[in-house]
Amino acid sequence: MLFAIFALGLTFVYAVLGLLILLGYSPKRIDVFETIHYYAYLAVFGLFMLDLVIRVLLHTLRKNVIPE
Amino acid sequence: MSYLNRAINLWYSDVERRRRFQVLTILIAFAYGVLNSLALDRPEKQVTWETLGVILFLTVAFTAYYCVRTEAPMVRTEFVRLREMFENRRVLEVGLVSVILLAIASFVVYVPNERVQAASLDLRLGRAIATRSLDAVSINSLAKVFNTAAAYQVSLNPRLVNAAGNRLLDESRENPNAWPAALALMSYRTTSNKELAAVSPSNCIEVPSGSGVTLYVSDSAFNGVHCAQALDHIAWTNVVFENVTVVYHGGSTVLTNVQFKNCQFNLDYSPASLELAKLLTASNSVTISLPGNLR
Repeated sequence: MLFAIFALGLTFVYAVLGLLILLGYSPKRIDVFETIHYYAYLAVFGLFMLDLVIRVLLHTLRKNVIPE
Repeated sequence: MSYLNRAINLWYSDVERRRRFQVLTILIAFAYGVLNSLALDRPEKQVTWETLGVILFLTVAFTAYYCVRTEAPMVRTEFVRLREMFENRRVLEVGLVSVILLAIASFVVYVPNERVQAASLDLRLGRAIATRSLDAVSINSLAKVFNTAAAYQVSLNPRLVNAAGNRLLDESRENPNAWPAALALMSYRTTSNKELAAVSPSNCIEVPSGSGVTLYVSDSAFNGVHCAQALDHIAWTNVVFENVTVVYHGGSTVLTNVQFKNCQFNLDYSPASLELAKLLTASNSVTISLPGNLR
């Protein structure tokens, strides 16, 4: 859920950046916004992937215990 | 095993603490990336890897802290031993074969996807020119982007290409190290020239000796993969160069309505070359007298 909220927020910002480009906003400022958006995306994506890898690793190490 | 139980508890059950830690990690990593990129103006590639390193470090540190400092969970999970992981030989064999095949495929098979590749190159281009001053890493990155785009005929975002062209040519006036990247940009620009004038094909010609313009060439097309044509001491009118390595040593030349397509450029670093580069990156058809007004 946490990642879905972040992903939704980043998608919204991406759409806003596209709109600003269409409206002819200053390219230099858009570059700054794009950099901020990129690092926000990188942080969320990096943590999401790490979360996934850790869970898969831990799950792999679990033993399937058949109930008697 | 109790540490593994605690780790399982953290990553599967203890949502509240995990969420708190994850939000904090995202904020720290984001702040680190933005600060280093925008405030300290450091290269994007380096900051990207460092940001990922920060995330990894914080995650490992927090997990270790959690495993050491918290009580063991009431529900205990059974874990396989290392030996048991290799007991199912069929699964192990299929897994190993898949890994080997994927590794071979990633090295051998190139799967071109123009749109994805263009988006990726646009992203790299944007990052390279986002820095306030073009450092060696950014210049190198720009050269790689333009060389890749030219080699695979990938169409880049024109707005970014124009911005990169202006930055590179401005930088080239002060810094000769930026010149190879500017040449790569020129080569890329000629790959996107679609419409060429219909003129009769010719072979490359030898550069005449002497000073000033000593030879006049008009209404011709030069086309050859192994052909290198020098521009010096020749006046070119209504000429098309296609698949040619264009050489310029900074001598006198006149170009009138000259077009380039899929060309490589080998221009000596000189004020005249910079003037020519400026036109080449801006227009499909070039008209210029170098050096000075020769007509």
